[in-house]
Order: sequence, then structure tokens, then C-alpha cells
Amino acid sequence: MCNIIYKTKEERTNHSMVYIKFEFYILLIILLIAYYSVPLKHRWYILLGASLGFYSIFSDHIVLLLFVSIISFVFGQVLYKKKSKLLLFVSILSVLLPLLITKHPTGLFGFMKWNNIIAPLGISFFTLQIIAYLVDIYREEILPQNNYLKYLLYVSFFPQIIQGPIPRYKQMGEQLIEGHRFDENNFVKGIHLIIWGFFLKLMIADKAAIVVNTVFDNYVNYSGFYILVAGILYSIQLYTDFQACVCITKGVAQLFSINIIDNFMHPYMSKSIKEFWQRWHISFSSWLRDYIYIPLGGNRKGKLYKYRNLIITFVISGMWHGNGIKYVLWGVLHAVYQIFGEILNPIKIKLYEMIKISKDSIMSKIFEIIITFYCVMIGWIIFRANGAVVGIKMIFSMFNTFNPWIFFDDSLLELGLCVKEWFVLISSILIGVIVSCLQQKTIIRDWILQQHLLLRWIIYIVAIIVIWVFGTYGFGFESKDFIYGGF
Amino acid sequence: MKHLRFVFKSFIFLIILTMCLYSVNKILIPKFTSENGWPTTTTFINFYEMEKNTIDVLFLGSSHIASSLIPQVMYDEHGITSYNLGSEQQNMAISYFWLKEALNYQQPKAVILDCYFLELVSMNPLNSEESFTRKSIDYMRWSPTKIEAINEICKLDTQQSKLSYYLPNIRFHSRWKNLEEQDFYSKTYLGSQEKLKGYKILDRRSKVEDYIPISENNSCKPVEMVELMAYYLDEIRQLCSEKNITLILISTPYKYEDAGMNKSISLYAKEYNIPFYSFNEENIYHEINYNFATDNAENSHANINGALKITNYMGKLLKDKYNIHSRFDKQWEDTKGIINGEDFTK
Repeated sequence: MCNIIYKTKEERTNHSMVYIKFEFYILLIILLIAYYSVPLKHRWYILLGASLGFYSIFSDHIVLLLFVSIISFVFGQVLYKKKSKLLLFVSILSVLLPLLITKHPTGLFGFMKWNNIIAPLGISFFTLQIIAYLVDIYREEILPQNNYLKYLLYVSFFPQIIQGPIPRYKQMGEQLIEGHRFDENNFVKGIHLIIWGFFLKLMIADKAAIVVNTVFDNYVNYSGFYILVAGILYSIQLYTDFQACVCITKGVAQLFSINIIDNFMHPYMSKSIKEFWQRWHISFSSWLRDYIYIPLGGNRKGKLYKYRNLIITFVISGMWHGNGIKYVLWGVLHAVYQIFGEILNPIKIKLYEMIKISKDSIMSKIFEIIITFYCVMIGWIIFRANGAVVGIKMIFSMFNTFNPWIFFDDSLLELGLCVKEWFVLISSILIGVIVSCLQQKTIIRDWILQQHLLLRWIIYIVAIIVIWVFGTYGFGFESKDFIYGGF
Repeated sequence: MKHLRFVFKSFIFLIILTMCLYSVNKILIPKFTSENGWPTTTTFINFYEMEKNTIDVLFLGSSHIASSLIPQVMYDEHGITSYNLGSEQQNMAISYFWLKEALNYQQPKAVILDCYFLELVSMNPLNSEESFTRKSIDYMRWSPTKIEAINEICKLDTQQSKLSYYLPNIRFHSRWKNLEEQDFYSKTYLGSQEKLKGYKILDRRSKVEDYIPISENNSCKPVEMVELMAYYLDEIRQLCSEKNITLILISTPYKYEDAGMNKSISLYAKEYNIPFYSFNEENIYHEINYNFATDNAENSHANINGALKITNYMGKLLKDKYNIHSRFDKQWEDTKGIINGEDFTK
């Protein structure tokens, strides 16, 4: 038997909640004071100490993190001096092995039980980060970091280690170590992001989760529009949950004047699945593009190869998300969506011509956004269901039952939310949509900063009170883990 | 200089934010008055309204004592100034911390402690559910005693969150769905029985005819007290001894399951030379002419008729045996006759 640490499922999944813990913010204040108190050139030591401290507290695998970082650091130095495909392969494999063992043990060793194993905190994220670092050195896109401690900070930076994003070394490496002066605007904008993250998490994601869990965990009792409602809400939950974590991560980093890349660009405003993947989990999808899809040949070798590469890339994407057929099926589904999207594109254009609608008209845009969202939602049902078969059954039961009366006879009130909570949830989603629309035209945080101090303070206080009162947390509502922290 | 201005602005902002959140929490925290059950909020808030060092006798313990001893009658009939700090499911630990807190404001000569919680009432580590602990502690003023109580409670009951005592929105946050007009009053609403100094009127009759008081010659064997409760009984005893306060144990009439506990308390009282008055024992029960069917509200609590009998008995004892003298005090004088004057028994 393997000697990897065994823990319960609950113990495995409660790390990512730390970002919404009161204690985290107390420590953060202490850290900020320390960071801005030491001389500029030594400030990165504070970040390194905090990152290692953070990882030691919330994970039992600090040794593994150090081991992987040392191995990859050494390989980085060697790869820079000697370009060798074999060396690159060995370095990637040695970095990838802990991820494969801990996240996909059944695939590697049939005798290991998936339910008893604990994946090291953030392993899915820092592994991809390290692979990108090694490949970029091999491709001579970056120079290796010669100081191990500085490299370790890039691998372990505490705001992002739990659930990303997955920044490249050229985006983050220097930023982390150069030391930043206190910048009031950056600081306040960081706080804006943290407040918005809390709004998304506690006002939308965790409230929607109540309905989603009721339906998905008792799927045999629900069909038709129940599944549709749960599917839509899960799509919203997953996005707002992930976006909330990214906002908090970005916000915390910005308090130190460090900018972390955006991970979402209003994905549910996409007009095709291809566009969706350019807007969803951008750091991951661009990683897949740069380190899987393009090395496989991308679209350079004809359509058939392109489709094959798409399928391989999305299967890997599915497998990265978890151990189970449902994730592979979800990945394949997205590849198929893209292939069909491309094949059917000429038909779509002809159809628009026939019914005399411009493909740039608002109507066609809305239509395409709805269709894209619907397709994505079908995929999310498989993604969330307790297994691939269950997911398929749920999709079928969504289509073979017609029960529109559930919107009128209070049936929805039996899914865990009362009328007032539904009102808060729907209002919060609408606020999210409005903000999303506004963000495409202006930078809201800059607009807030331009307002009079009194108005700004009113906005902050109202936002905090609204979350304080109406958010889903506390006794009876133990806040949910950030979903992507589990991948 | 620029940074200093930012620190100053942040400080002001945090003060305003804290004040706003404090006000929100005040709205969210539930208020328990006679209108919605046992008036725990009324009891504790009104206690702090009493003038310092004016209470001669304090009553502590569970709802059994809250409905059995009437401070106003104690004053009207015997001239004794008393306050009933008993509350719903108040376990011995809470009684101890409330006694400690009360001693910061009053110098009672005697404490009458209800012993119901020495027996097993709940499987909760504190012998009463978390909600009852909250009812008693949330309205205690901030002091080292309250912090000590919170630390002890959360150490004993690991399911409770220490942080939620400091930020009650964590505990009561879903109350926004049930807020009422009274929640928004600037002064906490205390209900229509706010002048009763902690006493809770019960007006029902149990109509239980099969209650049998414990006979003097019963052969029951003593049963073990709940360990934690016995520990806090010791703490109360020692605290009273340190402060030179007479501790009196009582047990009010209730449909006991095991008379052995009565014996255990008697033995404990005998060991430490503490008076123990059990109204479940037939000698006292008959002496005060108690009738469980008409003087109890149900199986556990005395109604107003029963409370009058128990209060008068204890008042006479306090005066005659424990030298608690009658005195004039405006706080009780102003509400004189309130029990007789107002009809609470509708």
C-alpha cells in the first residue's frame, strides 16, 4: 500500500474556505504592516515567509511542495544550459508524478482507493505553473530564476496557490520579488475586489448551492424544469464561486501592489463555445492551448488533426478537473461542441441569410449567447452530477418531463430557499449581470475611485452591510468551499 | 504624510463601519420577552438597570426558579429586595458566570440557587442546548467575566463558535427573514412583563393529579450529579463563601423521574452545611399547602399560585432564619402591588 496521507473527504475539502475566514484577514493585516515596514528590496522575504507559513498551516504537504520546487528549479537551470527534449520530458514527468499519483491514483495504481487519498493543496495549479516555467525555459522564452528562494515564492505565492489563476513566470516572477511601494489606489482597488468576491460567493454562489445541492443530491425526485433551474443555477454558482475566489486572490495580491492576471472575461456572454473557452478560466485554457494543443499540431495539419487535437486537449482538461468518467465526458462534449460549431457554421450563416437577420444584430447575438449558455449548462450538469450516468439521466429527465407549473405553484420554494431568499438570490444575480455589462464598457473600480469620499464610503458600507445581512454564511449555513479548490 | 492621511482616513472609516455593523447586529440578535416565551432578554437587561448595591437576595437557576420566586411579592410581603436571574435552561455553569457578573453590580446577602440542572437534562456537553446558553450570555455586558464565560463555554462545547459571540451575526444571521418592528427599536424591547424583575408569570394549571411528593422515609439511593454541573455548584459555593453570601439551595415542585437526585443534593448540602429546601419533599410540600394540579403550570413549573406559596415561604425564611432585613427601596416601591394590581392571568 502507498504511504500517502489518508484523510476524510471533509478534511480534504476545507482549505479553500480560508479566503473567507475572519482569521485570514487578521493575519493579512499583520502581513501588510510587515510588508510595508521592511525595506523595499527585502519585501519579497515577507511574501515568501507568508506563503510557506500559509502552506504549512493549511496543508500537510509542505515537504512535497519544497521537493517539487527544488527538482523543477534544478531542471530549469539544466534545461537552460542544455536543450534536450528527453530532459524536458523527464523534468515534466518528475513534476507531474505527484499530481498523477495523488489525483489519479486509480489510473496509476489500481489498488489505491480514491476516496482515502488527499491531494496536496493547490497541486493542480502549481504543477501546471511549474510545467509552463520549464517549457518556457526550453523554448527560450524566459531565463531561469537563479535564486531558489525567489523561484519558490513564484511557485507558492499564498493568495493564488489554492485555486489559481495559473500565471506564467514572465507575468509574475519579477513582480513578486521587486518590492512595491504602498499605493493608495491599488490598495483601495484591492479592497473593492475582495468585497466583490464576498458578494459573488455569499450572495450568489452559496445561496444557489442550496437549490443545486437539493436537486443534484436527490436527482431521482426531480425532472423537467427542476433540472433546468438547477442546471442554470449550477452554471451561475460555478462561475460566481470561481470568480469570487479569483477576485479575492487578485484583491489580496493588489493590497501588495501585485497584479494577478484576469481569469474570466464574462464567459456567459460568449456567442460560441470557442469564444467561451477564450473567456472561461483563461489562465488554464491558455495553458492547454500553449502546452498541449499547439505542441500536438494545433490546426496546422488539417481539419481532422485539428479535431483530434481538440478532443485530446479537452479530455486532458476534463481529467485535470477530477478523477472520473464524467469529467472526461464533459471534456469530450466541449470538444464535440467546438467541432460541430465549426462544421455547422456555414449552415448557420445561410440560415441567417434566409431569415434576413444580420449575424451582428442584437437579436442574433442574444440568440447565440442563449444557445451557447444552454450548451455549456448541459455540460455542467454532467460535471456536477454524481457520475456520468447520473448526469445523462438528469439531462434526459429534463427533456422528457414538462412541468412548467413549478414556477407558479410554490414548488420552487421546497428546494431550500424561501421567497425572501429567492428574491435576494435573483436580485444579486441581476446585479451581477448589470455589473458584468458595465464592466465591458468601463472600469467600475476606477469610477468609484473618482467619486467624492462620502459617496465612496456610503457605497462600501452599504455593500458590506448587504453582504453581512443577506449573505449565506454562519450558523446553519457553513460556507461552502470554493469549488475549484477541489480540482 | 500622504500615507499618514490614508491611515487616518482608514481609521475613521473603520470606526463608522464598526458602528454600523454593531447596529445591524443589535437588530439581528433575537429578543426574548414574555411575548415570545421566557423573558430572558428582559431579565438580563433589566438587571443592569437596577441601582448598584440595592439587591439583597439573588435567585439563580433554570426556568424552574424563574417561575417560582416573585421578587415583587418578596418585597410587598416581606420587605426584601430581590431579583430573579433565573432563565430558561440555565445550567450551573451559566448560573456561576451570572453570579460572578452580578457581583460586579450588587452585594447580595443571600443567593437562592435552583438545583434542577444537577441532573442530566440534555446530552449537550453543557447539559443544556446551545440556544439557551446564547440566550443567557448574549445579553451579558462585555467584561472579563463575559470573556471568561465565552472561553469556558466554547472550550466545553466545541460545537460553539467563540467568534460568533463577538460577532453575533454569524450565529443569528438568518434572522433577517423574521425581523419585526421591535427589532428596530433603539432601546431593546422588553415586553409587557418588564417590571417583574426576572419573574415569569405562568397562568395555566397542570391538572396533574398523580404527582406524589417525596416522602421523608423514602428508600431512594443517591444518584450521581452531572460532573460538570457539580463542579460549577462547587464554584458557586466557593464564590459565595468568599463573598460572605449565604447560599441556599432549592428544588421547586416538578415531576421528577428519580427521587435519588433529591437525596444527593441533601447529602451535598449536609456535607457543606448549606441549607436545602426541596418543595418536592412532602414535609415542605404539605407545609405550604401546595397542590400540584392547581399550583403547577405543567409538569415542571410553578404557576402564579404556586409561585406565591413558594415565595412567601422563602421570604419568611429569609427574614426569620437568615437575617435578611426588610428595607425601603423605590425600585420595588414604585411597582408595589403589580402582581395583584394587574391581571396577568388572562
